[in-house]
Amino acid sequence: MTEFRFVHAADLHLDSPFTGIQSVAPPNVHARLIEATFAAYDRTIDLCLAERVDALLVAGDIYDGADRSLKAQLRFVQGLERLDRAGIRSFVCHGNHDPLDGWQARLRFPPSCHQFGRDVAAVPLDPARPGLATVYGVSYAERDVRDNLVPQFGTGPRDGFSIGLLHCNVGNNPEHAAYSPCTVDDLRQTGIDYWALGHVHTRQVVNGRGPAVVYPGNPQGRHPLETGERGVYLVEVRADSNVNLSFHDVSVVRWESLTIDATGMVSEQELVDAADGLIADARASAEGRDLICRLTVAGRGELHERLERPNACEDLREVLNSRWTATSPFAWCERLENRVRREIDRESLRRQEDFSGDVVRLIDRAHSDPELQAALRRPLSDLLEHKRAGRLIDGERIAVGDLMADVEALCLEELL
Amino acid sequence: MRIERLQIGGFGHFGQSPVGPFGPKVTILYGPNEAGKSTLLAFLRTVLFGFPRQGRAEHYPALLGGEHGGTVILLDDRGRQWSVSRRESQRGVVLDVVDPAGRHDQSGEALAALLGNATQATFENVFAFGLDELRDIKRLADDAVSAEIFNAGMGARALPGVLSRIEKQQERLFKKQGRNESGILILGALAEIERIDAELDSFAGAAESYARLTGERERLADELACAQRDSAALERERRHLENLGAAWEDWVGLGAARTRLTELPEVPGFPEDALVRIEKLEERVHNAEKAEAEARRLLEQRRTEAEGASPFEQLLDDAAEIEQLRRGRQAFDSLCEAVPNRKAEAREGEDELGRILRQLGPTWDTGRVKAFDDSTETRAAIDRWAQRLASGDREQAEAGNAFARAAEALEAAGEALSLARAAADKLRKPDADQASIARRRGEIRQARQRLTDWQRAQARREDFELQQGTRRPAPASSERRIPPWLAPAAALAGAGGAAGSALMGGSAAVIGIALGVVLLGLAAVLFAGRRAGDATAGDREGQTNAAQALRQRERDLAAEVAASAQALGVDAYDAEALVAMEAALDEAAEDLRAWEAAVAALDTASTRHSRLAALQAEAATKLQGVETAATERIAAWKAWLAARGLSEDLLPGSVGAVFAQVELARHAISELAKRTERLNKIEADIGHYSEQVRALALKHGMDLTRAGEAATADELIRRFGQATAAAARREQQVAGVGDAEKALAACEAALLAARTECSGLLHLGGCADVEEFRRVAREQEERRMEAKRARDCEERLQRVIGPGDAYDHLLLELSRSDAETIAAELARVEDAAEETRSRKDELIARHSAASSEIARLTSDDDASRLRLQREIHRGQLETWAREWCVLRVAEAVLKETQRKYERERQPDVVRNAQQYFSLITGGRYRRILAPLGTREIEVEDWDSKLKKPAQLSQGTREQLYLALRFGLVQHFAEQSVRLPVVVDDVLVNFDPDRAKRAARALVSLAETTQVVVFTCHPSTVDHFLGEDPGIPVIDISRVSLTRQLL
Repeated sequence: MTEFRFVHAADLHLDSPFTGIQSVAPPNVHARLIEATFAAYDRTIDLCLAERVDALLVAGDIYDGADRSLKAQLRFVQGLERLDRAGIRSFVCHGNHDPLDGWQARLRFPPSCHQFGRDVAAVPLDPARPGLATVYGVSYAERDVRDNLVPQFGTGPRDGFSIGLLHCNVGNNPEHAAYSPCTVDDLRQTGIDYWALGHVHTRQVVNGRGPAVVYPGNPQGRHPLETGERGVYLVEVRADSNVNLSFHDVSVVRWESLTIDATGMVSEQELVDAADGLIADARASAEGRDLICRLTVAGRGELHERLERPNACEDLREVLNSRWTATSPFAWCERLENRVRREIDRESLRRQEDFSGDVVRLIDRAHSDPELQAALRRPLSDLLEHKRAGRLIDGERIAVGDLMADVEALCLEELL
Repeated sequence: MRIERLQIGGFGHFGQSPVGPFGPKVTILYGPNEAGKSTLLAFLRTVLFGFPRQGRAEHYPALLGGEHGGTVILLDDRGRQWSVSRRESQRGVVLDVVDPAGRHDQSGEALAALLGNATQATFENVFAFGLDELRDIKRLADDAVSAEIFNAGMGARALPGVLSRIEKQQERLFKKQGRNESGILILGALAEIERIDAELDSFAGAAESYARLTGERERLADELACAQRDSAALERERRHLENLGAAWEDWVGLGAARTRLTELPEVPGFPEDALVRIEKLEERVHNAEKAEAEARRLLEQRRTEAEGASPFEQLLDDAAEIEQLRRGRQAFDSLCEAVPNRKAEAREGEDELGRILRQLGPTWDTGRVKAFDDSTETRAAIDRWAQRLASGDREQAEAGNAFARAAEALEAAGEALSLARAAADKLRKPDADQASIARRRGEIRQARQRLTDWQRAQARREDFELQQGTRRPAPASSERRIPPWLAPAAALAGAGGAAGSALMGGSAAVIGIALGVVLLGLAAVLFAGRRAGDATAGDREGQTNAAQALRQRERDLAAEVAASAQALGVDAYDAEALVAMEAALDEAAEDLRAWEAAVAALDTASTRHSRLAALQAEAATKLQGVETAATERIAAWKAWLAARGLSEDLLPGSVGAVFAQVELARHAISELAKRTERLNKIEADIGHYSEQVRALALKHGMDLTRAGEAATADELIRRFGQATAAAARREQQVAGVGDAEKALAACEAALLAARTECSGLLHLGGCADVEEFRRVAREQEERRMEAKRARDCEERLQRVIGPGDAYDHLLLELSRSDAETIAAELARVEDAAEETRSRKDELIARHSAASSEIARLTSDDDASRLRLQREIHRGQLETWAREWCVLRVAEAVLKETQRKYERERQPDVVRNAQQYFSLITGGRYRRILAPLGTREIEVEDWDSKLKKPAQLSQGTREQLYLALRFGLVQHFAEQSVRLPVVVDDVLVNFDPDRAKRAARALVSLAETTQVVVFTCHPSTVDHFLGEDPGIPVIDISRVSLTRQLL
């Protein structure tokens, strides 16, 4: 029997821009991207109202303080006010993107909303039903919280069902910054039954029970790599304290990364047909959502030279977008990347006693020779240490070893 | 690896042709131009590296049939045989490589391994090249030449272009220095991001603004409510004052109207609209009086007119004649005007006829013209004469032209004959004929062959003796003691003695036989000893025999050389002498050919001259006959003209002109007759009309002589018209008098009625006259207007205030106030209201601005849009940054590889090359330099002077490039890439000495790598044979016959 239900959301990043987009979007797509995080949040509120849950828990990174978006904060409060009018309580903690010392507008939150402060606090889920459940939570006092905040939650036993609301990195996920790093054991020792976490953008049930440790991910993908379903968890807590999770995709724009193997293709038309097919499938899978895709053309063969011509990829992208962006829901290809390579017998080339053979052998050596890598990286300082460009380009993400495949392709394309 | 032989299936004009075997070191493929050297070189390249990708079928098609392609038999470094076949079939190109174990491979991997993984470009640039390749390089600029040489070995011919392209692509993305950032993608994106950041900063104070604006909006709302209350009170006061102001005029008007009503008397029963009615009646009487006077005047006028008459009434009796005059009047004028023109026309006709008759001649008049015979028969006869005379003229002209051409051709032939005779006289008949020259050429060819054979035999003998000279043992003592001929001599003597004694008989026979037996025994002993010696010196004897054989061969060949010298008529000769003899022979052959050509030309010219002389005589005879016939024809024509009275000077063509003149004269006679008749008719019509006018004028007393017929006719017509109109008018006035009398009676009745009605109205108003009636009527109208004014004022006052107490209060208030006071009070209230309204508007505007700003802050998408734009630019920036990094690292990789090459490979190449270059140039150039980090080559001469390739002569530059290739070949050989070197006539631009040295260099190169030389020059063959007489020479003009000159 269900005792109570709540929705667990995190990383709303309201009004934060989509990142990684590499081309200018048409007006309808542009408008959709600007509104997408708000629309996903609205759908989260709609879900709470439709399911008549007892509470909404938001585990940090509601907005990006650096963006100083008043609109984001107002819209967030407006959503909470809708819940308040329906008698649904809300619990909010702040993470590294919206720390307490960050920029915040002086807004009136509804009385049914509780914002956790810099110290861990315990708040009953429903004051009308004391002992039913307690929400424990803490907000980031500042952006760079590198200490483990879990010990602040103390240890059990606790009255009723306990929920921990925290923005943290469990298990040192390397794809995310190590804010408030902790382990599942740390979480287990607190005696809290359900950990409503935020920070990791891909949904993940780190631990099923005892305690349940859950990342719902962000409700709206904002990057070409944040593909697939995005949303929140509807959590049902039964009388025996077991929880039942059901994921709800509340996103309005779906990201997909699509790859076409162009091996054997001889014309652009074949490529366009294949891309049309892939986009149509992805659009169908998005279940009525708008689709933004990044298209990679891979393989080896004749198409290589055709796609290498100036503006060839951009022209093909235009052709695809002219077909798909005017539809509803739209599909927009934000980038078409040519990864098709010429038919090259690399092994034979490497054995050749000529310049091309020397190039291949040097590139092979560069993979394992730190000194050579350092020598090859040195000329990059013009850009990476440029006083203006260096601020915006993350030089640490550009490793010579990662570049070598493209370097080899370029050299051999030109030499052969 | 080396080539053993070629087996051509079908390639160019080679079909089913074997070529080879090739020697292990140098092999010469000799043949004249178009023998197929280039085809064989292409065959080799094609089998080893494939057909070209495009135009395969056109690539040396199999002109003699067979499968397109063929086989190359190769020997690897261990001497094992490989077979490489490449053929084009309907399925495409088929490669088949058979290894020494008989295994087939069609993938190309085995061939690639056999070729040391050398690329086709490397093979063609370094190993197999011709003069064209050298000359291609020669045409390039200096830097490019050096780069070509390097890159040919490096396999990176395009490296400079690659580096340049990569650098340009980098600059398109990013440039560290440079003021102009436009068009540089990364810098452009940076600028855009920085601009957006600055714009986003303006949104930083949004929250503070939101709080401040919210408070301000609430305060403004309170102030606005207060202002609205004040405004409402002032509005009420203003309306009240406006009502007072609006009522004041009516209040004053009401008082004035009431006062005036008391002053005006009231006349009961006075007719309404009295003034209007009296005015209308007075106007009616006036109009009736005017109408009665007009009717009376009209009646008098009609009566007067009915009694008048016209002075020309008698003309009405001649109405028909005058009408006839009127109708003919215009025609009469036209006829009078036409008379001068018609007379002029008649005169012109007479002049024209006279002119034509004068042209025909003095004997021609009107009668002769009319009688002249110009019938169709006469005209046909003239045509026939014209054809006959023209045909004769043409015949005469053709005969004249033919005679002139024949004479001209004969003159030209005479000149040609003189020239040919002079040319033949200049040449002396050569002593030699074709047969003797051919015989002499064969003797020279044989002499060269014998000389070459003798020289080779001499060289072999010398080599043999040189080899044997150091290890030949001293001859055995027994050999020195017993000459080899002694045993056979003893045996012969013994046998001869015994046989002779037996024939003689007796004791002498016994003694002779005994002596013979002794001698035979001695011979047997000597033979036994000799065999023992042979057994110990068997090898020595064999070598001696071989040396003797070589010497004998040399002597035999020397005798053949001597025989050839004798046949050539010299004591001795060498190669140079043979070349001189061949040159002299070529000169004699050329003299013989020139003499034979001159004699043939003289014969041809003589024959032609004779034939043309006969043709000229024939043409002269024909011309004379034609001229006689012409004279007879002209005489007959003149007789025909005389018979018709025409001039004998006329030609058939000019007779036609006479006929035309006669035609014109006849036409002029006809035209003149017509004009004369027309003039007579006009003059008759004029006379008839004049007669009519004169008769009428006389009857009515008009003076015709003073005015003329035309004016008199016009006056008669005018007077007749006037009389006709006067008669019609009089009849009309008589009929209108009655109508005028009736109209006058009606006007008099209307006037009476109007006057009666006017009197009745005055009586109704109680007035004696019209003036009194008007005065009373004006008083009564004023009274009515004042009453109405009073009623209107009361109605408006009640409308403003309303009935009841308020109306009374208003009247009371009005009675206590005045207009100035009300206006001043209203102005004060309006000013206060305006002030309040302005304050309210300002508050509303401020409230609205605050609300708009709040709405903008809460819903404006500008910041969101800017942030998204910023991220898009940032995404592009990262992509471009990565692209730039790839380009930069690629550039670094290529340059590092280049440095490595220059550091580790180039010195070997250059070192090897300079040895060959020094060898070829006889030590004139000692070193080749290739400074690191540059793409240049320099050479150092014997005097330590440095020169660039451009400073070298063409031949020396080609020798440098050849040496560099040799250096590369040797370098590759050290890398286990030993491919045969194939050169196609690359020595032709070298002087003889350097050509010999280059041949020596190639022979030296052949110690490590097989060398195949294509040439069409015998001297090149001699250079190589001079270095090594054992080099096989294959004559590719007869590829099926392989010969080796040993």
